[in-house]
Amino acid sequence: MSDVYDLTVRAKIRLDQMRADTRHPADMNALVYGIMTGMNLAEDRLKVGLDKMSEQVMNCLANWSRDLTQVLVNANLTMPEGKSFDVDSFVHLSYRRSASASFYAEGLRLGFQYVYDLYAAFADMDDPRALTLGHTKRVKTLLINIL
Amino acid sequence: MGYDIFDIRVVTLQSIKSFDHDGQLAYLSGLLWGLRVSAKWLEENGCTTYNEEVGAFFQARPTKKLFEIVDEWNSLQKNGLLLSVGDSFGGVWRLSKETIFFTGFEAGLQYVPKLYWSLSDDSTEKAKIIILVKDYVREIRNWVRETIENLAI
Repeated sequence: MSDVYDLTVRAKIRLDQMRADTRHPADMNALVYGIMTGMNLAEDRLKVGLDKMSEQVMNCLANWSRDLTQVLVNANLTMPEGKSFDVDSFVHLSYRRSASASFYAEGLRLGFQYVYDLYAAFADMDDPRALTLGHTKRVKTLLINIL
Repeated sequence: MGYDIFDIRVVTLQSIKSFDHDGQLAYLSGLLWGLRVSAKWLEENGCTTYNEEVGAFFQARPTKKLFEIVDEWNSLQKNGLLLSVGDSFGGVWRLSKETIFFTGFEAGLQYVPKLYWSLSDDSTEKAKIIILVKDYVREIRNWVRETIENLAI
């Protein structure tokens, strides 16, 4: 049985650090929206059967120095034929290229990684994908409440 | 500030997967009570440590009824760490699934102090952290209740 951290508590702790560093509120919003985006994108992968974490894909999706079209073209190369990432998975897309972009990317990594850590924790249970997707839905609601 | 804490929802789902239906309900009922008790002790008594005596106290009285043990426990408390039968929801499991019920109860008792220390640091007031913990435990308890309801359907 593997353990998994509580993402909402981790996010709270990170936001408190940012408050202590007197970061702009937009940076904190960017972090939370980034987390939700990372979770959405990892779910997009899980839904098409890609149940192994890929740092390469995560890094590609979190790269804010490239425009989104380039990012998606590259990331979609890793998807099965006929399947692609959904642009709508990017929550509050405007943060991706804003002054808070680094926090959006940080959040994206956190969220993406979390979904796969969660999946690993459920791996030896019945229908780990359904359990993971059910749990991430709840975590997203909790994250919205944090803001 | 703080450190990571495990996701108690995930751990709970992992913990109950091998139990039968009644066992799952017993564990969740115990967990609900443990969370309630330890959150109350934190809020009302400032108790930030796990109290290992209470579980042992119950286990040492296997034939007594739940409310009798609660009364006995409460009569012995000098530090105000009181229990309420009304919080337990799980008195029904006392006879049939006692071990599982108290495993859940202990899990709840242990979780709240861990959550407190995961959120605490040297600069944040204790009262603020307690509010955070209380809010978060409420969320967790809602999840436990929903899970119980889903199982009961």
